[in-house]
Amino acid sequence: MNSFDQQLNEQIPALRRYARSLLHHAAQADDLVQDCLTRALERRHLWQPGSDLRAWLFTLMHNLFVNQLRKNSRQPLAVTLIDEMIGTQAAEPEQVARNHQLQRQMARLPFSQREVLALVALEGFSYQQVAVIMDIPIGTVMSRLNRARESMRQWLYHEPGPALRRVK
Amino acid sequence: MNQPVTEQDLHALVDGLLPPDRIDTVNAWLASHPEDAAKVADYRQINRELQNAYPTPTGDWTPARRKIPSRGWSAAAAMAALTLLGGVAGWQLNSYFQPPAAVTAADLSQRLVQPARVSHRVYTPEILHPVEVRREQQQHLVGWLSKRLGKPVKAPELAAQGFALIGGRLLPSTDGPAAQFMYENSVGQRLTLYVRQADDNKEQTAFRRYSADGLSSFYWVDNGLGYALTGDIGPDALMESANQVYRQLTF
Repeated sequence: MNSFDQQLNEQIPALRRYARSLLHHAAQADDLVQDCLTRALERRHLWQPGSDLRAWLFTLMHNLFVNQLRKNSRQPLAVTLIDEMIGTQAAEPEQVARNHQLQRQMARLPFSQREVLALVALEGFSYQQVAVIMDIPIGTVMSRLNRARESMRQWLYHEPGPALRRVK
Repeated sequence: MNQPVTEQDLHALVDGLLPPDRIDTVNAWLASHPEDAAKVADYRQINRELQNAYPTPTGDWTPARRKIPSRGWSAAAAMAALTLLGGVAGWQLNSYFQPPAAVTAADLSQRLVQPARVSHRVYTPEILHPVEVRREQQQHLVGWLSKRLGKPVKAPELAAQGFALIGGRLLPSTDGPAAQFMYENSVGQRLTLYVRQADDNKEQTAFRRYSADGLSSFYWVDNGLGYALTGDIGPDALMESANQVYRQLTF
């Protein structure tokens, strides 16, 4: 197996995780991943061996996602998907419920903030890398990250009501 | 040179992106600013909880859109509604409601993927006669199939993936001839490559996957021929072989 295919295969789980954090619908998320892989294969000649394939793949995914949002702008995806939570690997019912709650709050974020938070907190990209992937200034990355975290913080830890208590 | 602690510092601390020489400054700041310290604690907790909520997916994956062309379905429903209404309005709207991409995708599924999968299921279990012409006569096989399909076809090499060509056969497809090449690896798993004529429409050329009942197919259209590689060897291995086929036939 050559290096491109091998690295591509290695990134599939992370791409799937990222797609799920954006779409909250396992099948639609995997469709996005498949589109991303298709595009990567079509454009493999554009990838420079030795450069960061991971960042390149996430850039392709970001662009596909944005295009998809544009196409579906009359029917926002989030509205239809929140009800169908993706599975988690937790065993305890409390943890499963908590995970779904996190997903629900994540789905409340605007897509632009959701993407930044997922790339930073889940995928471990640097702010600079996120700026490149999303093609936005680093100042915009920081302001979106700040707004995303402040909203999540408010919803998860500081809103009254039994449904939003923190699970220890 | 202690620059004032900013919001960005707090995020960078949480994400492990703070320059090492700044960590002490920020921590000292937090010790005297409980509100920022609470923020940092919450941000860290959000990171942890997000990582729990989105575990790395494992196992097989089956993109749904390939199975159910939803645009095609809604267009079909719209057409049915218009047919019920009847009349000129329905006829005029006909072209508006025909989504070209969905039609070709469904078409491809009907004429390429489904026959490829049926042929795979029919011929791969064969012990005595899995193929019509064996690989010993590969030149004859390829020449014969090219002639019948009206286009030059090739039997790609999959040795790097551990598969050797067994041979091939001519098949009836939905509306013309098709060729099937069969491959086998050392443990007896079999792959088939199904080839038939297909319209070389740009919309269709994407590399697609269809999976159901433990059988996966990768399919695409290139230069007037439709290809479907089918097998039950697991999606990653199949994708690798499909890449290989694609490269050999395309570049």
